[in-house]
Amino acid sequence: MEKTGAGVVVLSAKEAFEKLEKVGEGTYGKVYRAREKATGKIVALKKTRLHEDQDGVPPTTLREVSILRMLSRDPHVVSLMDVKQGQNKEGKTVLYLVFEYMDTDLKKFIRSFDQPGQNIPPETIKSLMYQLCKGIAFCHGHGILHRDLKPHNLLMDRKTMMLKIADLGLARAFTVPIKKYTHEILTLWYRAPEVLLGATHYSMAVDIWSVGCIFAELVTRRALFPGDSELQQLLHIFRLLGTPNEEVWPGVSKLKDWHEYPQWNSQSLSTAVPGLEELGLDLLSQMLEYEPSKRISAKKAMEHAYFDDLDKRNL
Amino acid sequence: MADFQTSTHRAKWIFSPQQLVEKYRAANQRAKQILEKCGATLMEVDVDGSLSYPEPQMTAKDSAEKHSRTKPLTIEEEQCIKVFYENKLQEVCNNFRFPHKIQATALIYFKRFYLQWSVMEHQPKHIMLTCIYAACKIEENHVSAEELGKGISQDHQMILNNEMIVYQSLEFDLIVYAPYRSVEGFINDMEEFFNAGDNQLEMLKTLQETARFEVDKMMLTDAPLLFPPGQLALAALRNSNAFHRVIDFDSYLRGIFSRENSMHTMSELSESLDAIDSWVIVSHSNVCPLTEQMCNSKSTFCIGWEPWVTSVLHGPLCGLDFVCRLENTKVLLRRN
Repeated sequence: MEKTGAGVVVLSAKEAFEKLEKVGEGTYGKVYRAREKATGKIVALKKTRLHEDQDGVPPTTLREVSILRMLSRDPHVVSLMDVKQGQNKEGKTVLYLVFEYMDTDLKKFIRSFDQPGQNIPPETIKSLMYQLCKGIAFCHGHGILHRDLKPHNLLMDRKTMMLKIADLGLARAFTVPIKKYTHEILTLWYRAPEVLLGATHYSMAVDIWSVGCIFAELVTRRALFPGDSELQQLLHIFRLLGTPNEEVWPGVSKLKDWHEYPQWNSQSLSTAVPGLEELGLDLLSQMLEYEPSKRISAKKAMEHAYFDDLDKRNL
Repeated sequence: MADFQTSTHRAKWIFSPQQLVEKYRAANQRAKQILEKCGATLMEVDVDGSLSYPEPQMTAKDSAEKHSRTKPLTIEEEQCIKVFYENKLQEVCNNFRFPHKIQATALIYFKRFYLQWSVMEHQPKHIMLTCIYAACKIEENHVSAEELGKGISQDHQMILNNEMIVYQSLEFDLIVYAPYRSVEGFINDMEEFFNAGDNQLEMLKTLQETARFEVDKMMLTDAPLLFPPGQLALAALRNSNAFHRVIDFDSYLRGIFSRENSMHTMSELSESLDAIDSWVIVSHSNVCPLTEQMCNSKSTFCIGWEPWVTSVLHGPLCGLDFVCRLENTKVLLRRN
């Protein structure tokens, strides 16, 4: 227990929470399901080790916390309830981020439809996609790029089918004009072609590409572009969408990592994502536009006709 | 950038002059009480980031002895020490050739930290370095604590020990907005508004450079805690333009109001810009004897709060009386 300058008593994580079970592991530490002793409320504790490389709080944790301080008001962004300090068994300082608890994530949810021919209902896909677009529109509206969108980072409540964006460790506030950013980010399968080709000036469109990949995966229950290296990833994309050129994507050949690639013509998206209705295919094609400035925005995506028949009242 | 309108900066960290005075008083008062009770005020920050106040004095004799040596700082004296370290902070950032954004972010962290604490409780030298370190992390210009410590011959462990208390005092609201970015935005807008040709573009560049110096001055006052960055930027550009006479500034302001659906009037904005000017002038004209003495001394850093500090301080300092006058005149402090 610790008294702050203002005389407020602050409980350590150990005093405030009872750990129930380990539910995951991240780059910097474990995630636990826990009970808040004072209220009995179930929470998720994300543990971060400090002083790992004699450099204190990891920048990813700092970014995640500071960004969530701005974004946690939105129902489609996971709510950060508190930040606590504690000590582990070896007496090392650890930081606990206290989040609302969600019982699954989109990766597990997709996997749960594991029987052949057992597809996720189209209305469920539509609802999840709308919530995802809404959450991303909120982030982008506040000048935040997520930069690491993938099914594993989208938390869900099975009962209510509510979806929330999580894991903002790679997120950042963007500036206009958009600065140079690292391009060694984002899980390969959901990575936008401009990032794969070494663009250092990029923007909200990188998140929209990821949303498009997730959309297709919800329909087919398989990753749309499952590359195992940057080159393979590009080739997967080119095989389906055609090898880009200056005509379809002005400036592409000037990107840092552009080389001469095999020439493929574009295929119809319906071959890769069978079963997706016409309007869904139209939205998906706008999310997977090569030229980033032509890619649909999250806000515009929410207004797409694909969502017209969705009951949005509780979303 | 991330939207100022919906930011924690706007919602939580822009104050009225009276609120600032109250915060400074509360921190100063608390430190005085601790001094009375314990004979010392500096808080111990442990390796795990936990805090402890000095142990209370054992006997009345001990306590009386300590009191004869140590007088608490006044709010004005605290302000002087803060200004000194804000100057040092700018110096350190320049020596490391950090981008301007890091210096501005670190300064805002430093100011916010000492809204919660007195300089008698936490050594400003340590906090200043920790704020620079934190700003480097949040602005993605990461420098190791060791590197930072080495560069100024300080033990980097002290930076790491203070890191958590800094974040907690800032309530983890680490995304901040400095006026430099707004200056750039306004200059870009002016280029379009006045349909600037090559000659005028050059002059606008000069205007921008001078405005940045104006912002540097503002950043050493409480202005960033009182006014939104957009207004600070406009005030800096107005002053810069008064010197260079590049554009018709009033017509530019009128242009802003004709384009925006603003709930405020042009005269209200002018009033705010005047208030910023007055604030900066008063803050800089009350040069503190302590700050001068510290700046002229050979040592790179003063050791925080020492008993000798009190003896070199006198006179009305850093415009706290002005704070109250400002509040009384009900100067409009718009929050957008």
